[in-house]
Amino acid sequence: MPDQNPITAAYSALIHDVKNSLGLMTSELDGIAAQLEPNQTDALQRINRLSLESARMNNVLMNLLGLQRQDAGKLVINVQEALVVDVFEDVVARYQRMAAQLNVTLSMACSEDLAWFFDPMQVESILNNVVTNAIRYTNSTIHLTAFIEQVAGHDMLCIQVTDDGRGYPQALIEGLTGPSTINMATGSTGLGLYLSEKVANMHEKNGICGKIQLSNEEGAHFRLWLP
Amino acid sequence: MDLSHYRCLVVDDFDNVRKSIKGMLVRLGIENVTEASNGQEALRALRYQSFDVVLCDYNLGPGRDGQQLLELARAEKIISQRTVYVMITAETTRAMVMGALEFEPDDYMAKPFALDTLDKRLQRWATRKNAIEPALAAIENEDFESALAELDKLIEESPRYRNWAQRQKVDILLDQKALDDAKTVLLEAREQREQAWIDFLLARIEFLKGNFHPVIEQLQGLVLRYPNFVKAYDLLSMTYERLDELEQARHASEEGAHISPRSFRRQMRIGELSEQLDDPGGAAKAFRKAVKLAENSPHETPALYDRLLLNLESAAERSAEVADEADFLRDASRVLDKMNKRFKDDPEAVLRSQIHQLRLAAKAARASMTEKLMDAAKRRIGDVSQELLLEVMQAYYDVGQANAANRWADELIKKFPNDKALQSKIIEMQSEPIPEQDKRKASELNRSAVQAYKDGNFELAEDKYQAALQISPHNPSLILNYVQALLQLVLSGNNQQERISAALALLQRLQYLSDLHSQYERYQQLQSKALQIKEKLGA
Repeated sequence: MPDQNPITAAYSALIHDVKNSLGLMTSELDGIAAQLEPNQTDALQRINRLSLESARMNNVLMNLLGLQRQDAGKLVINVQEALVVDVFEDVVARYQRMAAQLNVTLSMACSEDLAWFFDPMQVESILNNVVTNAIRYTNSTIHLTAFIEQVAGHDMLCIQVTDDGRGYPQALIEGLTGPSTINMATGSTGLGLYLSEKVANMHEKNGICGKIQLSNEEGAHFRLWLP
Repeated sequence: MDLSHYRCLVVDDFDNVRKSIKGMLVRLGIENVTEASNGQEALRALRYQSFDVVLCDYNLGPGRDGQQLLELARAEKIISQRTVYVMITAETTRAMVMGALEFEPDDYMAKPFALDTLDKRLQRWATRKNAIEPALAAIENEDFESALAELDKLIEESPRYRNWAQRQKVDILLDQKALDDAKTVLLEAREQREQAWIDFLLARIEFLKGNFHPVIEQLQGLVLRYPNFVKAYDLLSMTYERLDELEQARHASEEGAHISPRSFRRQMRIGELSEQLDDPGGAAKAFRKAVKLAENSPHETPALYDRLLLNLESAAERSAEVADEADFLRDASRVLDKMNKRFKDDPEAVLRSQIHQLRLAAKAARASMTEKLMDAAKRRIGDVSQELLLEVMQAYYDVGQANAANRWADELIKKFPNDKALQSKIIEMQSEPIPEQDKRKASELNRSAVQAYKDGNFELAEDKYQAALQISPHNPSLILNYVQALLQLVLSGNNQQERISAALALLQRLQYLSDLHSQYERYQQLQSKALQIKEKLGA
């Protein structure tokens, strides 16, 4: 990438470097976990805790790269016709084993032939963010669903992630406003949500833009609407 | 599905990453895994055997990246459509690789990925391979009717492969020159959703039809919406070239190169357009990048080095600043060194390099003498006659160094700011920046032309003036003499339109003439006379 600003370029290089290390750590952890006996549940759990935190760190780094791109006006999406179930399967495959070890059931329900126009990589990344956080905060379940619903006369794809935890902090629900909402005290940066919102907005059809919706029902309810 | 017979190639510059991916594949039951740590190794492996899956990191360190590898491998048909090429990226964006339409990876994976994710994907690729096989087989057998039927089936029944099938269909129709059919397919697809590749191909169809102006409008809209769609800039550049707007063509290619700086072809194109635009500096810059990109590839040829050197030499020649000239020459000698190292066993290249060495040596020696004279003259500027100072200026013209002559003229004017007589002499010289010898030849021809004119033989005068202008194309009094003869010939009624146009074109050459020049008034008179005649002829 032609990054003009040397500081920006240095940040990118740094982030990629850390990401590489993190990737190696994760695969080493996987290797260790594979060698453990099934009855070593305590060790397995602790390894999975580490894997989860690595995944969260990786998401944060991805978000930083995304933020940089957005700042430089270079965040672009690549809309194509894709199957929602493919994205779901990737997300579930990525986290299911880890979630199970932490006594969380990660499940999905989606019609096999639900096709829609969207950027599958970006949407997967949004879901990765949501799911890693949900694994941390839910009690026992995380469920992915998708359906098409009419909103103001237009068909929209709704992708939904629900859990049975204590829900989102009120501040997060009220203000999907920008990186300025970063909250050091609670440890929730909101950066992932901020970018998710941007990416959702960039999905546009006939003047209708995608959006993110957070609510607390039986647990946290995350909805991504795509036109 | 049992994938134990699968052959996989893993390309990554990090040893650890490669090992870890290989480990995952082995754990998934795939034993036949080849590793490559860079583009070179990958190409060698791809030539040597065929693979079911290539897992390639986008960033391969210095040298080729994953996208270049894919383009090369697909363009040279080292890998078939049956090989699933998967690009592994560190980001969620495909921005950096977007736009290479014919050569898009079959899938992307964001790293790091888990074992289960890879497992899922492998199954999906295997399913895909089976699903598209009938269409691929028909395409391979050039049975396009069956291929189109198979693709239609996919479009209708399998949303997962619809996009791929639509593209294949358009490709086949374009290959068959069925432009309108291809357009129909694209417009149908566009009904569902506007996408960059659709709009791009619609523009390409207009291009193939020769509707260049609409193409430009379409592509400009496209790059506004999808600024990273590199191919659009390439087509834009080609379209401008067809419209003979070379400056715009080069600009479009440069924008493409800005987004995707590692394309050899694009740099070559910028170089070629710069040559056509008579900009050796710009051409040298582009060819230098091309040389860098060509390193260790079949593109790295003596001819490429030769072309770069020629442009560096021309750029040095035309530099207004000595420092620039020195830079170009230093660059040229560095390129020459590299050329010698790379092609020391190629007799053609060795001899060619000797030719460049001769030219560079002469230029370098002359450049250093130029500065020596300039320094010496500056030091003695107050001690010698003005005639001698002007002779210095003429000496620069004699050896073809108009730039040095102008620099010296500036020095003189700075030293004698109020000496109008000197300044007018300088202007006189600047209006005829040629060697003394040529001045004499031109003035000889001028004399015989004037004689012919006096004798009333205007056509003979015309011939002589033409010959004189070949030698001294900018001499104002010569030009004005010739214009006068042309106007006489117009008035006598022969080839009126042609001659009056020629006269006006010649007068254009004197537009720059300062009112300090001795010929200024005459220029103005002849100019208005020529315009009057032109107007009369027009009416």
